[in-house]
Amino acid sequence: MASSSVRRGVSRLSHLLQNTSPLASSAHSCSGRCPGLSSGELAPFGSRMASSQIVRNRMKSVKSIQKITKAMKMVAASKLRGVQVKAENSRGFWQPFVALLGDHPDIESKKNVILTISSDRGLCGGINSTSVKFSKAMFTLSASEEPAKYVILGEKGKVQLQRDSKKNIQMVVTDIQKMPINFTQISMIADEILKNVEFDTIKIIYNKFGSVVSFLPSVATIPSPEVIARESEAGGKLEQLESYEIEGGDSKAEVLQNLSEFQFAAMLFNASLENACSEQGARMSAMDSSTRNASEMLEKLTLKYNRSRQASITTELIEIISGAAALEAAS
Amino acid sequence: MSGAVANQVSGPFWRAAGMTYVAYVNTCSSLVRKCLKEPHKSEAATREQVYYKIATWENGAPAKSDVREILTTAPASGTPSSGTPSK
Repeated sequence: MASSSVRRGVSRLSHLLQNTSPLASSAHSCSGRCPGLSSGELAPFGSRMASSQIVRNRMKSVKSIQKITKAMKMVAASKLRGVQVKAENSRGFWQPFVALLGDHPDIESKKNVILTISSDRGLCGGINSTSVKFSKAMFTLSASEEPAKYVILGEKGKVQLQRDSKKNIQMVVTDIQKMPINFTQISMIADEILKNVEFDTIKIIYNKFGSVVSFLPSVATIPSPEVIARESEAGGKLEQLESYEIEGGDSKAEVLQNLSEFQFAAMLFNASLENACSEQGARMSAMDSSTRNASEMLEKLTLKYNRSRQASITTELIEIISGAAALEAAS
Repeated sequence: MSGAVANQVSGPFWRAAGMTYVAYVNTCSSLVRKCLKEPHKSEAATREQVYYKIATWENGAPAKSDVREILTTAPASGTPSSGTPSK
């Protein structure tokens, strides 16, 4: 036979293979005792179930992943409930500003600041990439003499934007969701942005929460007091502001400055809540679909496993029967 | 209030001290929260918890980063006393 070289190999490994029959065929003897065997063709001697063992391990891992995604979905759902109420209540915060000043995303200004709101954690569908995409589009749209600057809220937006727009990032704020978002915190952030970033208009880009499965990338425009004053003069976009009468000792410039600063804080508050809400909603639906995918996969694997097991049983039966028949025929 | 008096000189007093309107609002609201009585007081205190990390970037690299944190018991101030980034 052609197995002389194989025999030599066997004798070299004989201390490992003492119990192995020397009649083992060539393919079997080499890989005879490899424990972590993965190839279906080189199954260990006497074991037909190697591939089904692999499938079983795979099924186990899919099952545990499914458990994790299910738990994440539950967590997102319960977090969503809390933050959704807050987000809906905070809408009343900025709506009066839109009634008073209107919304003018096309307002012209020199120094533009783009405030991208994103989440700190991943696994929440496409909300971060949409807000980054919109920010980049806004960056090219608002091309004036000097390029716009980015202020980023959230880790994921930072990671995506620093790849190609590093030079234009001015400030990054992260970990705002460690405590539940509240106005004190957001107004501190707004305060810091107002003090450290020079701007004519700030464009806040965030995902507005529609429902668990729908969120709308939105832009909120915050003009600086100077821009408001310029536009409210005759012919500007905020013409109707002139018809208001200002009471008290404050001058108009002061009132406008206070108004603009408060508008920024209120808008930022609402935007970050809406974004947090969309994040949880998106995470919920993402985790839901991955749980569904896992169970689909599990179904397929189970089918495969059972089929191959059945096939090997059938083969064994045929071997036994034909062996018995051969013995009978011989006698 | 005394703001009206100071007004006539050069804007409101807090503006002269370099505060923004939001910082002023924050300080005022934390004062109001302090005036509350007990069951409401601790409830309102949870709305004063602040934690975030901030980093200013220059020329495509983070230049300075800082953690801002205000615990429940401490009074919230608009501008934190430590490590305010320079203009």
